[in-house]
Amino acid sequence: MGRAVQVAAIMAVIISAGLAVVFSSRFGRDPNLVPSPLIGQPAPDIELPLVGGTGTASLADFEGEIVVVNVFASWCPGCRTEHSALVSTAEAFADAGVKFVQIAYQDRPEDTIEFLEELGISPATTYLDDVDSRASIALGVFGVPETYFIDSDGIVRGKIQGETNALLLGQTIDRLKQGEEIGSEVVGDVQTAPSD
Amino acid sequence: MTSMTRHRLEEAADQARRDLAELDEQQSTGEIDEETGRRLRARYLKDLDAALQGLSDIAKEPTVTRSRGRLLAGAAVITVGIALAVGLVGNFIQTPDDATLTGIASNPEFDPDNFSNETLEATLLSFESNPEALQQTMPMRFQLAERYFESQEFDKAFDHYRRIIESDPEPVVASAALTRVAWIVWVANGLTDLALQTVDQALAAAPDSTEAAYVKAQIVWCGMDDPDGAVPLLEAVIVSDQIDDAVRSQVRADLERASSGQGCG
Repeated sequence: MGRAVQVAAIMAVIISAGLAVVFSSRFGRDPNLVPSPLIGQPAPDIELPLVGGTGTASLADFEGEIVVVNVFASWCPGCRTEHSALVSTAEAFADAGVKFVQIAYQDRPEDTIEFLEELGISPATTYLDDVDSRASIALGVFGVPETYFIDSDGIVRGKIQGETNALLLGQTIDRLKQGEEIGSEVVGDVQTAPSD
Repeated sequence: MTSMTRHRLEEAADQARRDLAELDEQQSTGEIDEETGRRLRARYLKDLDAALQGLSDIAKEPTVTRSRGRLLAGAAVITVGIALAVGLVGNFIQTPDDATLTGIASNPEFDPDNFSNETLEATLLSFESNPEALQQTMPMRFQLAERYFESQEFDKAFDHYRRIIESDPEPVVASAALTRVAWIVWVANGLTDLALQTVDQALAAAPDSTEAAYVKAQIVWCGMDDPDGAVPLLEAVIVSDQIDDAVRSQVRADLERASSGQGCG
């Protein structure tokens, strides 16, 4: 055995022993699972206008890729809090076959634009305006924020209800890519209207 | 990149190292108080890191030919201190009862194996606008950097080690990051002199660092073809309580070969 290989083997023993002690526990998942009728069904194919621009897009445009659909509104405090996580996760997964779509829910277009300009716009995300709530109805949106996970076959596999974060978003995408069942998770409250 | 730029960056790195050495002396004589010393050290380390970054950019293509076995061995060698380093990072920012994302990300028991690189990158990115929380995610950043390091994605690893150094960490953490930067600029970029200077900074930050001593021994012995220079370093590693008998045996064999003037290959 060459000297370099010997050194590598010895160091591996040290590393594994140390890491076993330091990282001996596991981060658990949120246990608050609730059923959702959309899970396991094809994602609705509804064409929506792009926020602040001309043209339209639909979820079918992203067939063959994992799609994360976040439903948000400028009047929703939880949406403001989670927005940076959506931007950072979209960018981190931009080259990993994952597309992000954010759909503005019951919002005035000018408020949506102001919200995005203030909190950040990701070039890796498509922003759509659900002007007549057709998409929200089809998705079964109860309130905002809600986030849906669609696999590369266009099937809805998971949903997070409430304010999310980058770790949970990324972990859910990781699980989806590994073919795990996702289901629905409630991680916080949602708002149905600005007055809530 | 011109030779003039390289020269300017090398001068900047040298200046930062001189400043750090002078600061060490001033602190040892009590000429500078602890807070001022900490602030100045952070600034000088940042200057040094900026120079190293520039020099690293100059030499993106590998300029030295080493066996894959040698490279992998070295990469393994300098991860010796990771458990210690991450543990210590966790100790001074520990918030084990904090169920928030920051709390999870800062917990030293956080297991990165459950998450992809993209997820860890996303989480760190999401803290960019919150410097206080960003500081608390250092264990996660260190673990992600280690993951890139072990897969030889040195550019990505370098960026994270740089951020760690810039964050004014505890000396043992700065030393661990500097040791890895030294390895990267040596193996990936072929900058032996710079690597030696960087690992010297790692030793200045944590004089008892076994891994820094071992890496310096490797650089001196293999990179500078100076077995005599490696001998005292290997002697220091042998007596360290951070290694077990098997490692000690290997280092002893290294020491015997270096003592007899043999090359490292």
